[in-house]
Amino acid sequence: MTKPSPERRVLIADDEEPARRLVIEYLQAHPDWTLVAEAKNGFEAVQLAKEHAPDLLFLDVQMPKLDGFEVLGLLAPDIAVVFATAFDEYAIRAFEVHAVDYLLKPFSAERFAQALARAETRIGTTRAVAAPALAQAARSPGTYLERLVIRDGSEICIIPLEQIDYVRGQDDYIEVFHGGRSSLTQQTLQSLESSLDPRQFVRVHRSYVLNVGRVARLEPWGNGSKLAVLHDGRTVPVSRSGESRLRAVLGV
Amino acid sequence: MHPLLAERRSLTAYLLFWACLAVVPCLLLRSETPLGALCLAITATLAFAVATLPTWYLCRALPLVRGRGYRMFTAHAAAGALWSVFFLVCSKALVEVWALVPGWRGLVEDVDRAQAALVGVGALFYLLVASSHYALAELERRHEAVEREGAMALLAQQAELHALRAQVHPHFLFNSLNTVSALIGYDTTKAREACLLLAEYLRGTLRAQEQSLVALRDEWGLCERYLKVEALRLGDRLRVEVELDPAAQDCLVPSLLLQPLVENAMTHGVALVDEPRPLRVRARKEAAVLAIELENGIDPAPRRRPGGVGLANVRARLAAQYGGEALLRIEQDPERFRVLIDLPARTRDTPNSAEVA
Repeated sequence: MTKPSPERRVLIADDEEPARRLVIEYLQAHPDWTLVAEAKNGFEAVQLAKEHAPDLLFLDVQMPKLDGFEVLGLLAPDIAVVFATAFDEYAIRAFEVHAVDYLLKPFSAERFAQALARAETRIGTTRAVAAPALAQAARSPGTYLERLVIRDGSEICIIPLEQIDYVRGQDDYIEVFHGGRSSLTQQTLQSLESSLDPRQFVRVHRSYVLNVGRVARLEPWGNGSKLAVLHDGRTVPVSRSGESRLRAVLGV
Repeated sequence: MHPLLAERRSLTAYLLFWACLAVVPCLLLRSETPLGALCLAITATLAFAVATLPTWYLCRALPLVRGRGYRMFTAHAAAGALWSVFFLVCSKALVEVWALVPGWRGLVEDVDRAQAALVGVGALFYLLVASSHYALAELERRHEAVEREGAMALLAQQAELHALRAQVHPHFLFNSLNTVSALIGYDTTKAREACLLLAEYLRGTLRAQEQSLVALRDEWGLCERYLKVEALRLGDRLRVEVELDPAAQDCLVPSLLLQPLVENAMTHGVALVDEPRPLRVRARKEAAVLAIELENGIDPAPRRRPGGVGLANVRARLAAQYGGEALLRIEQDPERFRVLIDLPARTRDTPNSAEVA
């Protein structure tokens, strides 16, 4: 490291005070890196990241409000992320979502320095936000997503899946309709569908995924397709193949 | 020992059965003194029934196994021939006694006339003895199998209980070690305290794994040590409210029953909730029931459905220990998760607690 390095800005997100203080202590040996803020939960992490635009985020996985993977999904793609957790079962998923490094607690000052060095090489590059990988990472293997975390303007929206009525896909965006509201987020319908419980959510149309519990009845809609009428009166188009998928799940 | 001799009742039933069968030789004698013939037949038949009891050992030595039919047949044919002659000899000997009764002299002649018939009856009787002994052997074999199965199930259950008890989560250790590692940097006194607390807790779990039932007081003591370690990590976020009434504290609970529930409450509740919402633990003794209640705050929009392996384990252990006598219920609203357990309230002094312990 002969070239003068510019100041690097670090954000720590960990709900445990001792864990944050340890990172701060280790950071003292690296004067190029400056701590800009400490977040005590997932919400704060997202907010402080937006406010301070850090170069690097040390991110715990198990935190109140939002977990580490959910936080990552809401971050600007140019923030390098190092996960720090006592759980080793997330390691593979962490790299799938392009984390810079994965520190297993407890970690040594040397291992910490290694993570910083790795982050240094990554700064200035943009994380390819692989939405499908992110959606996969947010849940344990063999289980389905239990909630959706969406940034709605400046607000972070946590939508439990049972509150979702249906989802409409438009190019790279999805519009989630839940309890009379709708939220827009950048993700493909395909990737969302793959992380939903197929017994509850059915792709009824090229651009629609429907919560089967909301369907009141099906009405003919010309040209062999149908219209699903929901309990609240709203309607969702159902294609011919969508109808057979829907009937398979409903068992009718 | 012969199974019929093991119990007076079964021997009596056996002899009564044979006394009834004495009607057969009695009729074959076609005697003019029917009462005498009946007395003779009954005594001869009973003598035969008692004398042939050792057939049990022959039946045991020659079990009903496919491919051994020939050996079995010859052995029983030989035994049958001997015993049928025995029946005749026995009748002849006894008739000399009964003939002493005035007016029953004719019995001797009756027996001489019916010699061939009596040998036939002896053969038939032997057939009956042998087949009933085989039936008896089969019954006993089944009984033994059931007993063995029961013993095996008990062993399996004990092994399962042990395995269920032995789960201490490594994540807890890693997190605690990380806390110690951090504390060394800024508060060495507290770091040392953390080491001691951790050691105390671990030693407690090792001891707890050795026991099957412990007083609620001791089980909670272990949980307290666990919570003290967690408090170092979580600070103010961990608040505990405990109400254990004294009578409840003496009650026995399966060792390490509460600890996984407290750990569950920590990892899925307290550690994932920002607002300090207390971990509430209550225990009351109501007549013969020990009611334990654990409540913690939860994330209103949970990432994972609660009620995982930890709860399933506790449920399985309660079922294994108490069968239908214990009950585990879960109550949940968007902000709170509550586990309610009802157990039979037993203490060390309760008579039937000694055997379970």
